[in-house]
Parts: sequence; C-alpha cells; structure tokens
Amino acid sequence: MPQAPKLAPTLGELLQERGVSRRAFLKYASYLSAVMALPAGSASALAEGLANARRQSVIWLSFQECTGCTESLTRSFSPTLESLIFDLISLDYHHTLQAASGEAAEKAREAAMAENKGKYVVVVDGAVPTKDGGLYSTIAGVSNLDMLKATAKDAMAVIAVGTCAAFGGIPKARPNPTGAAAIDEIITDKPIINIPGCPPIPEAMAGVVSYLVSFVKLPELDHLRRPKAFFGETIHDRCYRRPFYERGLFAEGFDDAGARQGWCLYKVGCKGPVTYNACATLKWNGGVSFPIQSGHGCLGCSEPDFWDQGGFYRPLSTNLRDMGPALAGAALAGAALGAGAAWASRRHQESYQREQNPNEGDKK
Amino acid sequence: MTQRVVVDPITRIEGHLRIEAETDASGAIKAAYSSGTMVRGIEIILRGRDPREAWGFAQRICGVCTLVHGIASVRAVENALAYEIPANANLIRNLMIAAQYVHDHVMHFYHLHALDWVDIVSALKADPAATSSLAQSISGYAKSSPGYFADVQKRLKGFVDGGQLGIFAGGYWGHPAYKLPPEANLMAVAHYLEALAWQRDVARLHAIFGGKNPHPNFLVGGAPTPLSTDPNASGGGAAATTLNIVALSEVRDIIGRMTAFVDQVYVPDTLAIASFYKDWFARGEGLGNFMTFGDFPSDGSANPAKRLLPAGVILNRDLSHIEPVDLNDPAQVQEFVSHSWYDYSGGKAKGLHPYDGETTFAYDGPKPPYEQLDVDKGYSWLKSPRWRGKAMEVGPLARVLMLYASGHKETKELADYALKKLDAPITAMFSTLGRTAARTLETKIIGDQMKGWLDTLVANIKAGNVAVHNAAKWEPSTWPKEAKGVGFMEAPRGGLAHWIVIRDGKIANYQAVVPSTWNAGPRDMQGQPGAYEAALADRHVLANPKQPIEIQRTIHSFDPCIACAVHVADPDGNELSSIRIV
Amino acid sequence: MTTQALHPSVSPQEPPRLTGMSEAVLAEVAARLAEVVAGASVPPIDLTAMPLTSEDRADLEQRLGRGEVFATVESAGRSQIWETQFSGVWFVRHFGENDRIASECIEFGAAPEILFSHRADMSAAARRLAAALQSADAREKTDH
Repeated sequence: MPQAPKLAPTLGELLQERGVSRRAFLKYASYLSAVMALPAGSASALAEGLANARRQSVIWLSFQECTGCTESLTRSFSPTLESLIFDLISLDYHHTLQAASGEAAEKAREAAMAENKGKYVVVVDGAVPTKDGGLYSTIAGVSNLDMLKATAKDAMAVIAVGTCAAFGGIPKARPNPTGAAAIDEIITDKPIINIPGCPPIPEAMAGVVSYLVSFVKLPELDHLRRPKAFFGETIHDRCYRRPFYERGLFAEGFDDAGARQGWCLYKVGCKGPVTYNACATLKWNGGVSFPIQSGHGCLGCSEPDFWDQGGFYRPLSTNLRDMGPALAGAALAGAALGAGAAWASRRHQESYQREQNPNEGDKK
Repeated sequence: MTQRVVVDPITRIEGHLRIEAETDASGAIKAAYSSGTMVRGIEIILRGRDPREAWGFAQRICGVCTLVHGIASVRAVENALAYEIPANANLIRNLMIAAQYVHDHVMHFYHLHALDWVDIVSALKADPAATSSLAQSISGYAKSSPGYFADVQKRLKGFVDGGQLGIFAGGYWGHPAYKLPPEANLMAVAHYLEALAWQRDVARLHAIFGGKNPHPNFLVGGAPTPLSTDPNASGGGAAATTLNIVALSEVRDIIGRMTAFVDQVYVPDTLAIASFYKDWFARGEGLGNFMTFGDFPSDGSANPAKRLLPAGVILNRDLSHIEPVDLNDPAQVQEFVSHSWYDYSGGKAKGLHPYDGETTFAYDGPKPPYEQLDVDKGYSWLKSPRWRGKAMEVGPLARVLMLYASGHKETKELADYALKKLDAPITAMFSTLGRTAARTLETKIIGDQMKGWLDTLVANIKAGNVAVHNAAKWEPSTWPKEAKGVGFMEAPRGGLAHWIVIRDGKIANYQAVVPSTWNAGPRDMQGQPGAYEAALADRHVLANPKQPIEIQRTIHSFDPCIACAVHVADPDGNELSSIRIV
Repeated sequence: MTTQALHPSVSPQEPPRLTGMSEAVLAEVAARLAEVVAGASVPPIDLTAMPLTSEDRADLEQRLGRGEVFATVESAGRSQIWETQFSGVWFVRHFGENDRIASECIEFGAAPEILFSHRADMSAAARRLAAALQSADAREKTDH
C-alpha cells in the first residue's frame, strides 16, 4: 500500500504535545477578534482555524530597509515573536534571524519555495530600488527587483510590512535617489496586504499573519490595501486627548503648561487627524504609551509619502472640524471619545445589526 | 592555489553585507573584502529640510540601533545653534541610550551571535538535570530547574520533529567548530528564548520617554515628554502624559529587571561559553587602532569631564597613551572613496572632511546578477573613513580599552575579574572573543549607571526642576543665517557622529559617519583594509568553505549594522556641487 | 516651578474624570442581554481598546458587580472570569506577559466559551488516561 506523505503536525497537535489545551488558541483568538473587531462568533472559528492549520511557510525578504520592522515584530506581546515563529509559522528565510549565511541561506529560501509552491507567504520589508536596473541593492549578487519577482511568483500572498515596502517610505522621499518603489508597484498579479507604519505596530503584523494562517484568506482591506481592522480610523478619532481638542485646549509648545496637562498637540504639528493607524488603541510596547501620550505629535508614519507632507511641526492647515466623524455631543456631555461615542450612537446600533444579520441590508 | 569564498548574505546582522575571502590551499584567509550592497540616500533626502526634523529621517538609517541616529542628529543641530538643553533632558537621553545598549547588546549576543557558538541540535541530547546543575553552578538565576530545561527541550524537540526547521534550517549543526557540551547548548537555547521575552520589557522604557520603540521620538532642544502635571496621573487619568510618578517608578523597575538579567544571565553565559572557545582569544583583531568619541554626561551637564565614556584614540595596541580626538578638525576625520561606488569632484584619491563631504554614485561593479566582485575597482556602497589617514576600530572593544587605559576603576575590576576567570592576559582582548566579551562587560558598566541617572532626575524633579525642553531657540527666526555643528555619541556599535550645515533655516549639507562605516568600510587609497577586512585576515582557517562559520564568528563579533554604514548618496554631482559648503 | 507642579489642584478646565462612557457601555450591556434572553447569540464587548479613563473602568466594574461564579484559567498565561451580578453577563480578563492585562471583554450567555473543555482536548485526555491505566496494569503484572 502506498504510504501517504507525512504531513507536518497541526498547530493543535503541536500544542497538545506540549500539554497545552485549546484554550490557549481561544484566548489568543478572542484577543485578536477583539482588536480586529471581527463579527460575533469569530473567536471560536479563529481558534479552530489555528488549531487545524499547519505551520505556515513564510519567506521574509529584506530590501531597502532599516530592520526596524523586524525589531518591531520582536516587541509583539500577543502573540510573542517566540510563539509566532516557533508555534504559528515556519520562518524559512529571514536575514536577521536565520542561522545559515550565504549559500546555505539562499538554499533554505529555494527549498521553502519548492516545498510550499503556491502556498507560502512572502513578507517584504523595505522598498525596492528600480533605477539603473536595481543595482542599488543586491543580495547574493542578485538585485532586489529580480529576487522579489522570482520569490513572489509562486506565493499565495505578499505582505508588505512597513511604510517602505507598502508605499516606498524613506528611500522614496524626495528626491528618491535610487528610484525606490513600493511592492505593489512591482508585483501586480498577487494578493497584497500593506501593513504600513515606521515601523508598523507589532500586534498588527502578527495579527494579520495569524488571520491569514487561520482563515487562509485576506482580511478586509481599504483602498490602500491596508487591513481595515487596524487602519479603519484615524489616530485622532481614538486619541485620549481628543476631549481637549473638542474644548479648544492646545499645547502651544513642548514643555508649557498645556503640554504638561496633556492637552491636544494639534498646534505643534500632530498628524493624528489625517493618519489611519491603531496607535491610540493598541498602543506600543505592551500598551505603555504611544507618541502622543509621550508628548510628541504623530508624524503620520503609516501614510503614503508622509516624509514629504510639509513638516512634522507645522500644524495641519485643514479645518479639523470638517474632518472625521462628528460626535453625538449631547448624549455624551461632550466628553466621550472618538469611536467610544459610537457605543451610544445610532450608527453603532446599525452596524451591530449588520453583524447579526449579515445577509440583510448593506447590499452594495 | 587560492580560492575565493563568497558569503552573501551574511545573516544575523542588520542590513546587507557581503564578504569575499581569498583562502590558500589550507583554507587560511589571506585577504578579505567587505562589501555593503544596499544604498538608500538618506543624507541627500535630508537636504533642504527643516533641521528640527532631521532626527526623524536620520533615525530611519537604522531600526536596530534605533535612536542613536536620532540622538546624534538632535545633538548636531544643538551644537550648530549653541542650543543648550535642560539637564533633565540629558538625563532622559542617558537613560534611553543606556537602555539601548543593554537591549541591543543582549539581543546581539543571544539572537545574532549565539548560533555561531551554540549548536541547537546538540541541545536535544542534553540531560535536563545536568543542565540545571550547570546553570546553578554559574548563576543564581531563578529559572534553572530540571523541569524548566526539560520543557525547553520538549519544545525544541517538537519543533525539530515537526520537520519545519524555520530559522534554524541550513544551520551548520554538527560542524566540528562547535565545542559546547549538549547541556551548555540547551542552557543557551533556553536563554535565547528568555532574552526575547526580556527585551520586550526593556523596550518599554523607550516607549515611556519616546512614545514607542523602535523609533522613539526625540526633540531638538530637549526631550519631548513633559512631566505630567495631572493630579490623577497615577491612575492613568485622561489628562495624563506618560511621564508621571507611576512611570518613573516603572522605569526604576525596568532598570532593576534589566540589570538583573545582565548580572544573572548575560555575564555568566558569556564567560561560560567563552571558556570553551579560548582559541578565539588569539585571532580576529587586525588593526590595533581604536577610537571613541565619548558619551553619557553623568550629571546632565555638557561638561566633557563629566562623561562616563571618554574620547580618544589608541594606536598600535598601546594602552599607555591616548591621543585626543577633534571631530571639527579637517585633518583628523576624512572619508575616502577609492574602493567605493562613489566619485569626488576633486578626484577619487582625495579625502574629505564631513563638513565638505560629497557623494556621487559612480557604480563600477559587475552588473547583477554577479558571482564575484572586482576588488581592484570599487566594491562597496560604504566609504572608507580614516583618522589622520589611519583605519580605526570603533565599538565595545575600543570603549572598554579606553576605559581601561584611562583607569576607570569599575572597568578595571570587571575586566580583571573576567580575564582571571578565563585565565587570559589583557592582550587576549585584541581578538574576536575579546570584542564579544568587551560588549558584555560594557553592558554591565553602563547598565549599572542607570539607577544613578534616574536618581538625579527624580531629585531634580523633587527640587522643583521639571523642565525637559528649552524653547528659546525653537523658532528658526532666532537662528543665524548660517551655522554648522557636529553631534556625536557612543552608539552600541561604536563612535557615531553627524555633521550638519544649516543655511537660511534649512539643511544645506548633512553627513553621518557611523560605527559600521569605520569597521566595515573597504580599502582606502593606500590599500589599508578596514577593520572587518583586517580582522578576517588575522589567523582564520576555514574548515569547510561551504560552511564559513569562522567568518560568521568574527564578523558577528563586530555586530554589523550595514544600513547605518551605507547611508550617503547623491544621484547628481552637479546638484551637489551647487550646495557644497567649502 | 515647585514640586507643586506635579500635584497642582484640579483646574476648572480639566475634563471630568467620569466621561459617561461607563454609562454608555452599561446601556449596551443591557441591550445585548435583552437579545440573549430573546434567544440570540451576541458578540462580546471588547473593553481593551475602548477609551475609558481609569475612573470609568472602576465605575463599570463596580456597577456590574460580582455574582456567584469566579474562575481562574491557566493557559498561555492567566485569565480571570467572573459572572457579574447580572446572570448571563460575564467579565473575562486575560493576562499576558508579566501579568499585564492583555484583553478584557464582557461576554454574554450561559458561560464564556473558554470555560468549556474542547473536544480535541477531551479525546487526548481519554487516550492519556487509557495509556496511564495500561502502564499501571503492566506494572502490577510485573510486581506479581
């Protein structure tokens, strides 16, 4: 009788061997479905998906980058890098972490591509120089341009992490000396997810990977291919300093009385109102803080071309009152914040009903 | 018969590095060539921008030594504008830089360097009970029970048995150069995982002061985080800034956990592992010249005498004499491009001081894809910086030697203790493992200072001094029409300096000369090799050219950061000459 | 500047500590509980990312109160689960690294899912128990 090929164990089996129950998946799944605002019942489906998945082969390509994205991922609290790369995925090529160098490293990449043809995920950090045939960045003598095309060819999906890979980032900042380009300017025939940020929030990177492993499909994306779950609202929408904005209380400098009382940083150049990211809710480094909480305005680092948008310290010229969702002030005594307001608003009730009856209404 | 061994990519580093080595029939390296293969052009991108924003761009030179370029940049602007900053801001910077040291060095040891010495697969053969005894014999670290090591081994076994080796695939497991017994390997694997969890905690210190890590925020003129005056700050009330009474005590706790890990895990592990590889105390240091710029104003003042780390140059391994360094002196620091993919308007033979620095792409390497570089021509995106024409090594070894030579008491005690334990003379420091050990020692030296800086900060606050930012020169209208300055620091990888020229409130020229350029740069006009190249030519014999673990060991001992080293670029020589400062 | 700067009196411009958010969440809890009673299954309310002040949180927790059930789950870190004084409304708090709260939510229904044993774990347990009995049998045989 021909023997069936030996399949790698599922994540559930691996965990069981270590004496850990399925509750561990459920726990992470409930965290993830909360931060990704997934509909009711998603946590158990997510947990089941994870338990039945096998470790996903991931090939991580580093191009015109600073390794900040990888460093950020190591700061992920949920899941931790350890459980991500040892329990959830098989990180088959990653310059900063892998043991092998040179020829052996390249062989590992080729082996992963051959064994998981059509099924592996490519993660890219860094932009790709396109000028002069791409000679401004090479690995093993091969241009980034060629390596990206060859590696993405048989991938299931490509995840561009960091603003450089997603939008070109700093190498593409004026005058773009090397002709740096974003990944989706080069790869046009694969599903691409952009997770921008300089660097991205680690839990957003890990969360998207987990979602992909579990559901084997892309999360819902916006017009810039960003997962709506993490990039659906502006930082200003969810900022804890928004009540000061509403009351017109602004820090005028970095160490004045207003700054010390945590007033709104709009006048010292905060880009929160035009920046879509989850810093104000997920926060950084296990929830310690985020830039605004630590006194510096948002730089807007998850937006395309943020380096060339007129200056970190120049106040936004747009009238903010015309921007973003208006708050239902009366019901909240002018004090509830951003999306928090939604809890009491009719808007929320509608979306809630949509979740309950996905087949009714909202038929676009 | 000579053979060319090419290692590209060098992994477990920051950035894109290629090493080509010529070996003789015995496998001995006769000459080595270090090539940085990626360029972005951040300095050219900086031109014409607001100097107050330069830190944000410069910081993106590197996300591993995140913050060092931010610090060097704000210091360059402050130096140019004679902009004084509050003592509290200096103390906050000290704490952030020191946390970066401890974080960076521990991660380097366990996650970038360890696999050169630690055989993961051998750890499967270890006896957890014997591992526990070993761990308890070298340290009082609490996590050392047989059950703890059995769990780690079980996890590792499941991982290996699953058949997907991930980051460990293709490693040189079983190579005869691995000398640790299985138990030491298992202990190191356990600490590899521990250190991953530990570093997340350390990074929180940066998030408190800078809002996030990697890439925390900085501010010209001080620190961006005002001390919270929210009366309910301790409860995390809506009006709080991060920096409040609770955060300061959190910082104190983090410092305690940081230094405990260094004392109980990092230092004992370094000594234990090094004791199995004593032959690596006899190779891998080639230049014999060491340089530091100095850092850590202990009282928050700008007084150079108050700096923990001194500045200076040691030549020819002579610890009895220290030369002074002046970064503003055009005859001292110069960058050469004879073997770099750049051109100078005055010809490739010239050396230029960074204030006059220019950079024009002039790639004359092979067209990719290529097999081998032509090292008679340009072969790297790195320049070759020189001090008075001499190649220098910068970094932990240079700093520890400088502290030792200048008679720093704690350094002498610590170095003598470590050397005695390893039964090695001080000359053993001039080596691959000497460099690795120096990194461990300085982690402890610097980490141990943090509590004192925090105490000073808290004392200032209690005395009513809560200023963290000086607004006096914030507005560009207060600046002179033209100014130039240099900002320097000791980054974890070595002396780092940024030179800025400001004209009409904008950046007219910006140059960064970074540690890995000093260490990883190519040969200069005279054919003098850089530090990596000289180190690899110092008594390295490759047992198996297909598994060049010997090259990895010495290169990793420098902790390369290549995105830092290659940062300059100018696509257009004409444009450059029009804004060049002479 | 004096030390007073760190402890100034509350300025009249300070926003109120209780923002009204706990009230809004409680209303939402009531609405969802009503739906559960009507037979629907409703999603949890995630408190982790909600902009609540510490006073809001304390107010919410206090007003939901404690009911008859309190459980601790040790799996990939600690979790605390308790039924509030309102049957069918559960408070679920997961702790992550260093005992920090990783996520917090209010769940609705007979019991939160994390309290149930998973079928896969039960069958693994059955196998483990059978194997343990078998080896005990074998030991007994060799003893005699």
